[in-house]
Amino acid sequence: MRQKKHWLLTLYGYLMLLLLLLPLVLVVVTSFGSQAAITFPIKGFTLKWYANILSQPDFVTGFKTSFAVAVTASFLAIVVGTPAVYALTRCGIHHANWFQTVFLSPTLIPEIVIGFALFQSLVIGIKLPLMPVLITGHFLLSVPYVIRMLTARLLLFDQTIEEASWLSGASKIKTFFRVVIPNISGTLLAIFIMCFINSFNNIPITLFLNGPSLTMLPTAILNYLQNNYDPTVSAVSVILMLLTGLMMWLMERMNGLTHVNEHLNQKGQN
Amino acid sequence: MQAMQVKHLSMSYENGKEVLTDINFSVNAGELVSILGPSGCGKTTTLRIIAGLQRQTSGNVAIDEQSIDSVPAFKRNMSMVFQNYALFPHLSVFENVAFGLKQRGIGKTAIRKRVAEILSLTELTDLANHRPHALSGGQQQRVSLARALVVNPTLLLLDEPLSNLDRALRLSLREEIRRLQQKLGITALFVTHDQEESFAISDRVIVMNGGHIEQIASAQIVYAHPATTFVAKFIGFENFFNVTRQETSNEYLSGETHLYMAEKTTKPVVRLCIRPENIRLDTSMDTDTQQNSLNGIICDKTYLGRTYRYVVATDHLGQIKVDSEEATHQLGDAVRLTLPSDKLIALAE
Ligand SMILES: Nc1ncnc2c1ncn2[C@@H]1O[C@H](COP(=O)(O)OP(=O)(O)O)[C@@H](O)[C@H]1O
Ligand SMILES: [Mg+2]
Repeated sequence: MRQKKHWLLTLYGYLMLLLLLLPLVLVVVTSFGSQAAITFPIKGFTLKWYANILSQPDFVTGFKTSFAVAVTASFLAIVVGTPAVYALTRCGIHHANWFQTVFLSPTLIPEIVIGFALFQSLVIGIKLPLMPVLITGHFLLSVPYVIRMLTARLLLFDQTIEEASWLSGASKIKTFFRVVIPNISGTLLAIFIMCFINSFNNIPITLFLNGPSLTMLPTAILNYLQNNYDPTVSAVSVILMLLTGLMMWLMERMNGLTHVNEHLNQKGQN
Repeated sequence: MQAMQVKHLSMSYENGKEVLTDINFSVNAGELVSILGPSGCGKTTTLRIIAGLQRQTSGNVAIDEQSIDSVPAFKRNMSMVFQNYALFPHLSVFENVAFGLKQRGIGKTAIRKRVAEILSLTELTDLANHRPHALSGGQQQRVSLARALVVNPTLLLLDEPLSNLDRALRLSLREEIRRLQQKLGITALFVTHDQEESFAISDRVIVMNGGHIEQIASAQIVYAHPATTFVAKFIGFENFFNVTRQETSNEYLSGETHLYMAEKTTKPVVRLCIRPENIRLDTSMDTDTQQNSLNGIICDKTYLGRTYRYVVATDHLGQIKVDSEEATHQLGDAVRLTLPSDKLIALAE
């Protein structure tokens, strides 16, 4: 269904793309500038800001902690979310739509409110250490993604394939692990990556739940910016962009989202 | 010996609609029985209840006289071939076929031997390492058949397995299914909406309509002696005459027209029927009262390929459909119809 597009529309498309990419290009360029403050255009070329990242302990530990939190929260969200979605799409549960809404509700509440609520109730209230609360926050952030994307995938997965497996002698549990999971593993990995990126870059929840003992990368960047205005921040941003880009590329390659997108497109057309 | 029995099976979905009403039938060991009926009459529901994929509202399913209602689907040792193949997309042809054996805890070497046997029987050996999506529809359905046969099922269930294939493939796969079923001595239940398919493949036919059974008999008997008006219509009878029986018992009266049947029957008769191809069409306008003959005017003519379909308007029996190889009759021609007394079938309902 390839249609000839109007030139004005094409122009508009490229303009939007430029608008989106321009700030990123600026960040990349400034990260190589030799002046002590972020300026554009740059005067000389240097890699010293990249080297400087490693001499900032906050960035290094922040990266490690953020990475660990994102991996743990995304993993937990998938482990908890997958059986829930399977039950919702397969077991003919009454009020499945209502459950869907409940699971998706974290997206409706401003994240800053979630962060504050967790801080108030769990950290101040019952004196939990920061780390588990932080993971809980990021877990809550990720669950809606799991629910939404996995529901789309499982609704598209032909149920007669599962029935064929039951009749072949595999119980429902075995079928889930030997037939369903292998067939949705691409989608699961894609969801994991999306959750990871989302959690790794999250500020609103993270802001409430770190302290002297716990440094996360986004808050480390904010802190650094308060005292310095050199291109180290640009350099960090470039590395984060590369990391995100790499993951998106991986996700595309595994085709994990094609089914999900198909489903969402179909829904949109109806 | 009756391998599988269905007794007083009824089924209503949650919306309260009853889709099966008191279904009773059995399948003998080594027999292939087909369920024939129009779309929506409950064939799939019946099959799924037997397989344990759905729960009936009442009645029961028995294997060798033992009720299996409490046995979950994965322990019933039945196989199903689905209309849309339902192969495991992430497994190769070999692994698809081996899947059921693996679940039964059979050893690797035994599995390899048994799968190789079935793959060669179904002529799939060369495709063993392919993934399902790389195969044509016909090949996928053969894999599905191999997967179903390899476990030596107590009962093989086939739900319109040929409906997604083109005609030539349908015919050849149909014969292959029958050949394998007989060679391996498998007991099978085959669901289809295609009369020819059902007649060609099965030992006995169950004709279903609107959630109940209309007739259970061999294909020959269903073809020659449909039990009900529905069955007659479904298998190609197109002319029906409401009649009352005269006292002589093989003479019937439809309006003012007398019709005679060759056979005498004692059952109550409400209707006679005849196939379009069994009616004789002549130009001669004999007026002498020959048995089962009547005059009419041709009011429609359609070319069907091998024959022409004439619609003849008669004075007393309404419009009658006649198939004839004769091309000469034209619209508006006056003709004489003869309904051979041995081709008329009496219907009780
Ligand atoms: N899940 C369901 N809920 C409600 N009604 C259903 C459901 N599945 C099938 N039906 C109805 O049951 C009847 C029989 O369906 P089915 O067994 O699929 O017929 P067939 O296989 O002969 O075409 C149909 O009228 C259909 O609309
Ligand atoms: Mg059906």
